[in-house]
Amino acid sequence: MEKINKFIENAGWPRIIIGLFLLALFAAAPFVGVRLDTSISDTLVRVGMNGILVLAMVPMVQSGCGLNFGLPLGIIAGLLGAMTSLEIGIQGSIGFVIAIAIAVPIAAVLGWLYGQLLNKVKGDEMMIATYVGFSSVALMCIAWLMLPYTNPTMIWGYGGSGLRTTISVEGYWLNALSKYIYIQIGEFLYIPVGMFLFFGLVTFLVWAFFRTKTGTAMTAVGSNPEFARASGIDVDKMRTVSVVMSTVLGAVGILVYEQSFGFCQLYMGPFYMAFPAVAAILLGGASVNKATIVNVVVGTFLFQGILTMTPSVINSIMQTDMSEVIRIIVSNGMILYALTRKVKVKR
Amino acid sequence: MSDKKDKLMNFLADCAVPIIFIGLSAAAIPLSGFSATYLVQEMLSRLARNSFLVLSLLIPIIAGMGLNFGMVLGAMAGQIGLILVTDWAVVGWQGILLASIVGMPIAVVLGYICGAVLNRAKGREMVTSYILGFFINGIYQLIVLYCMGNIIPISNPQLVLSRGYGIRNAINLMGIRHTLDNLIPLKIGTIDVPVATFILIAIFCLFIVWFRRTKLGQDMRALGQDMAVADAAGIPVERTRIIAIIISTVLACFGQIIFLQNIGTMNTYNSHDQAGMFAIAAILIGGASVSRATIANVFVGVILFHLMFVVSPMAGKQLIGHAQLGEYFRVFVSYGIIALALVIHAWKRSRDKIEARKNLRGDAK
Amino acid sequence: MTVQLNKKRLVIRLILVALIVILCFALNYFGKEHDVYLDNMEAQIGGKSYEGIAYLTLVIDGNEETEMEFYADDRDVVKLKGPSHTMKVSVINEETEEVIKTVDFSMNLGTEREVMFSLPAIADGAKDAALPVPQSDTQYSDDEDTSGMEATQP
Repeated sequence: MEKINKFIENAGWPRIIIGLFLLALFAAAPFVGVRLDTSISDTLVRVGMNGILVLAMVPMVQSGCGLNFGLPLGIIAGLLGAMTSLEIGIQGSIGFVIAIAIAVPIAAVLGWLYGQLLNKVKGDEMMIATYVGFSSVALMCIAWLMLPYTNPTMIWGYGGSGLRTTISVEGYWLNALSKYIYIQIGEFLYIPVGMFLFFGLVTFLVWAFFRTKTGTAMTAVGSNPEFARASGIDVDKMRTVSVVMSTVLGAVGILVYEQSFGFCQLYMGPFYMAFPAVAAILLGGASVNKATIVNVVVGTFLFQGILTMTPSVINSIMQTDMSEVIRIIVSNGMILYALTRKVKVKR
Repeated sequence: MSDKKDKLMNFLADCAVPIIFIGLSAAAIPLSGFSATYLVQEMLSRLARNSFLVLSLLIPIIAGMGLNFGMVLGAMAGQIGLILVTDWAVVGWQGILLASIVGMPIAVVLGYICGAVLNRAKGREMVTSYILGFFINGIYQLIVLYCMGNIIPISNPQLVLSRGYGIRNAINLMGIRHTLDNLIPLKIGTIDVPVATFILIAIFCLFIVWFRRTKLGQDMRALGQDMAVADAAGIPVERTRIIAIIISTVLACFGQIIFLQNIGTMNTYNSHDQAGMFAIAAILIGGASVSRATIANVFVGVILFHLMFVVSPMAGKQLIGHAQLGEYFRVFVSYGIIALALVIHAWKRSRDKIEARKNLRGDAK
Repeated sequence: MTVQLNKKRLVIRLILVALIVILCFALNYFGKEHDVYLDNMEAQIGGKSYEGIAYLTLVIDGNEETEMEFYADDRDVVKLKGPSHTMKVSVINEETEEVIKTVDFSMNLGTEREVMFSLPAIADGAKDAALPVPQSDTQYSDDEDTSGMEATQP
């Protein structure tokens, strides 16, 4: 009994409720005519797609910069990489590698600027991050109209200039990661092993980074900035590094997302993309100032599981599509829960 | 000497945003090619439409709770009132009054919830109220999209989706359109002046001026200065903060009703979203900061923001031949200005903190 | 002492709440919009049958600007706000433009959402001119349905 109580305390009520809810959805699936194996492979694909975007939260949380609501900045860098890669027109996995190669430096530069800004506004990072994300998306809307891309699959047919709102990557690098490495069991169960390998690699790199000297220093900055400063760590530098990392991971994350999803969403597409990622990591057990790799994996699985299961299962039971509303309530409720939890005031 | 320079710098920092906007508008107005009468008419009607919503932000700022992104809660309450009134087919000023009376208790409850939540998140009120807005929006959709029409009876088939429950995306408010604006008709030349709305706004301004002088208002100002000191002085901190948010939410509810009676159609699932963002952008453009805002800021802000709102698509079209570009520019400016204002505020605050620390060290020597 | 004060306060508050509720009903009564159908067709009311009138004009609440014209077998709908209204029906010979007779009729709409009146019955001076409201079979289409909210919500 004591053990259970302790477990509940550690995991927190919302997480348990949502976990049970997901379990119930999986259990109910066969009875309402939803194929379990399809659901599982859908969930797995979505986990692979979104994993790195969620992972992008970790460095900033660890260094005390709070939840990265400014993720759209990284996504924009990723989109720029994707567009340029499509413009060059190299097909297959090489095109995907080129997209990453272009996106990462852009993300690094944007992330560095963003980090400088966040160092000036310690304590208010989250609100400012949100609006930095929003305004950069709006600014890029103008840029997408003006940038001189010429590939006919990307630009509006009639005007002759300006990029389309959604651009297909089919014929270029659709499924670049799991095209050759995947497991197909029976007709319905599909596991995108390639995507998971890539996710695992990136996750391992982040994990390894936090074992290095810089990584531990970053964690120290996050848990106690005064102490970190006293022990000779350059707090601002550590924070900047973490922001750059988050932004770069965001850029890579969106590319992984796109190669599986098949489309690049420009203009207002990236606008709200930070929110599902934030909700996922919080669902995984992270708080506003502490996040681990386990949080990422668990959170992504829970959150994406609910996103996949609610439309199919709830629709079969109630004959209506409530998934949208459930998604809004679950994701924002989770963020709200994390923000209002009594945490020790650090500053 | 350096003191004077500092003062000048401070003044410039305070007024930087309005000055930039005056400059932008001055450049864009001739480009857009709108006539003066058109602009004056447009500004008057937009001033009447939006001022109330923007004014509702003032009281939480006085109480030191920052920009109340939770005002969208009040907007939702107002919209529920309007949906019900439209269903009951009550029109004219009676309809507006009834919608306000119906919306008010909902706004009080939501405001109480918002205040209680924000009390658990002291120091990050803004981001919390922002997320709370989204969360309550989910519940609003649950009620409007799934409960209205079966649990809450709606008899008017024009409001309900063809599947039998849930409210349509767009609701026509023909019955109460412009009824408040035209309650006391006045025409100067070719310009319509919505007198009754302005009278309401004026009453509201007087209310705020009066409210600041009351005991409660003084308590709130003390809270805004320093929460710990106020607590030591025996002010019930949490209660006062909740009251501040409730007042703001209720006023936002009225504000949204005034806003929608002027527009004439209601976007059931989007109208409230934009209300919050535009109101906050407007008050910031008027030169308010997160911790200091006056009535003058509100009116300057509404005029400047909406001037740009009207002018920029046409200016974009004339300049580059792309109306969409002006549109995006407008979106960029609304978000950018909020980001900029937040950055300036946070930066100033951290600079003050460093300054204070320096002074302390100086004393120690 | 304090208990009494609180009691007094409570009573005042309850009265205020009751007043607001009454105000709500009053607003609902006086601000209600009614769809009034006006029918100039053959009709049977209370065992008496009426023929449609060849040509007539109609003025509601003495507002000459919104004068309506009816030919035989016409049906029209007006939206009226508030519980009671008057209308003036003038039966006219269309060729000579001579007013054959005018009838004043007062409508008491109460809280009914929709009502229908038979104009021939009114012109005949009947007190009871109400007809059963026709069932509208208009299907309202879901213009955009619920889509579109996806793009704007996180």
